Amino acid sequence: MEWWATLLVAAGLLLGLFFSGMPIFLAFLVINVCGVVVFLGPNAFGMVVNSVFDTTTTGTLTAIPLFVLMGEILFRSGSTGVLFDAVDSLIGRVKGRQYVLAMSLATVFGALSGSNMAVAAMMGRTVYPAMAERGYDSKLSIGVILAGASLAPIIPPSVLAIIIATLANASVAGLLIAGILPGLLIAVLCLGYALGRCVLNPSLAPSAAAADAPKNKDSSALLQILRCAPFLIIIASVMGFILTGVATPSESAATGVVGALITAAIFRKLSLKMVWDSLGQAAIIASMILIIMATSTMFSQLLAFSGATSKLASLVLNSELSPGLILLLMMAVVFIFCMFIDQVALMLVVIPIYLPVVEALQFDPMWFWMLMLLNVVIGGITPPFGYAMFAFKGVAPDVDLRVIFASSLPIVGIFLLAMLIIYWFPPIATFLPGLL
Amino acid sequence: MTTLAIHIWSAVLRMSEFLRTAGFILSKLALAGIVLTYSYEVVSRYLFDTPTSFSSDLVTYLLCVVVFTMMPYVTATGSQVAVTVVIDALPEQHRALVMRLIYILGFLACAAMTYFASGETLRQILRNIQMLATHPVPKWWISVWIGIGFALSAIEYLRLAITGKTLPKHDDTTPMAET
Repeated sequence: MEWWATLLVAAGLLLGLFFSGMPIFLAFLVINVCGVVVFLGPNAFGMVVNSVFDTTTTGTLTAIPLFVLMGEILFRSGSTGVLFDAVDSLIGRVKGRQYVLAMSLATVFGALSGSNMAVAAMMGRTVYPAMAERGYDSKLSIGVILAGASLAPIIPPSVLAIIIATLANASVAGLLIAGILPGLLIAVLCLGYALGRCVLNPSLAPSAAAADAPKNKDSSALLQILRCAPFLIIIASVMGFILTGVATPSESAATGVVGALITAAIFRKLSLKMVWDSLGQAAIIASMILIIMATSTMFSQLLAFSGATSKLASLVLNSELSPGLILLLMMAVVFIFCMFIDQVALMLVVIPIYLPVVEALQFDPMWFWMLMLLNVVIGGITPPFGYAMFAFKGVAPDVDLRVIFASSLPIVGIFLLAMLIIYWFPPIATFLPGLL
Repeated sequence: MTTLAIHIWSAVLRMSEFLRTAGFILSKLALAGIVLTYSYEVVSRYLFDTPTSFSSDLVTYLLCVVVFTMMPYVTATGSQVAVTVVIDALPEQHRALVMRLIYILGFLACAAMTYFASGETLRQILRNIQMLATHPVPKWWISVWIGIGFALSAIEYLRLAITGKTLPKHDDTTPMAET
């Protein structure tokens, strides 16, 4: 069979199985088992098992359950409530104050959690009702919350960054740290957008500043900042340790877990049950993600054996297309498919195919994979199947899904703008990893 | 004959339920083990200047245990990630039929993987293959979990194919995003 026919059949079968509702790992597994039995024979059975073994014993991937565990401990213990009060007390009486509060909180949560769904749900439960009650525009409020939640997989800790870096043979520490400046850039852009719209249309936020005061106005800002100090333990033991080279990303994730436990203990919210439950949820998520990764490895190997991956890369490289246009096409494929397919599954399919192209075109790996990460994150807020939107809907059932969809569109535009800025100015993504 | 088959199937289900629950607990303990091992390594290396020789290998073994001991629970509760956009739009009767087909395929694929994995594990035992590590251990000590995970998942898929019903999740494992 010609390489292009192999690629089309494999991709078509995989997509067909995905859309049949079959679990992602099973879709990969069915194709792997059939592929090995039909094309390679019994001698290759051990190869399938070894590919699963190699993936699930990859040291860098231990960071996935650990970062999830860290977020679970913080959210389940309720320690994050302290952060809410502190950020709330620090923001003065400005027009559109709740938009500033939502984006600031989301940025801080982004540095403590890698899950956009968890942040979207928490912000939807805590910040959104206050915004609605105070007369803030519903669409703009939801848009800001979704934008804020989308910062979580970009600002370290980020599970998606670990997966991308592992698949792309890039530096995990580098890609994690590379997310800091783009994350802040997007936060600033979204905040500028929200406040700019308030200036153009004052009805989007209440005009009476007195009606929009901090909840804990009796407590001093300094006291509130001091109460947040324990969270610095977590940020220092994750980002600090990675940046200074004290620990690997996986070790930093483990020290982050210890930091989260200490933080919960300081706020008297530590309990054995909470830790036990958090361990369970983190192990479940790790199992779900890593089984998909483990079964997809053999799929990539089968494609490589058939020669399809290298020949597709050669075809792209020998075309008359400029590198910029190739990049645009690569990103367009990810953008479109992420609307319909699980982000992790899509990455597992496209990254092994993209990797030789990225290397041949000599794109900076941190720059390219950061653009890829931003693109994949957009999948969480693009209709019709963005996970973050459904997480928000789950905690705000009264909000019409069409309103949530409409709210996300300007935010998708801002993310695309941020990608364009990073395309034109790569140091935003490459400066911090260069310091490692 | 039918009664005997029902008795055997009931015994298999009881055994798989016990192993699923044991795996659920073991997976949590293995994850806690990863946290402790890494933390001990960082403290040993930076406070006492005595890096351990075992931590980097041990955590990878524990990761394999975390993944495959939790796999049967994830399968039984239908928690695996799936794109359900098309199937959710189908009428209930058609949806149930497609799900049964998926469960049967799941059983066959997981059973095949169990066969592959047990063969590979047996080969590792017979040839006494060791891990390439500072402190080598027999490779089958780790790879055996792959076979166990897939075997129990195959049983779960078979149960799903017969009953059509996923098990409820434990209350304490509801993700934060869903609470």
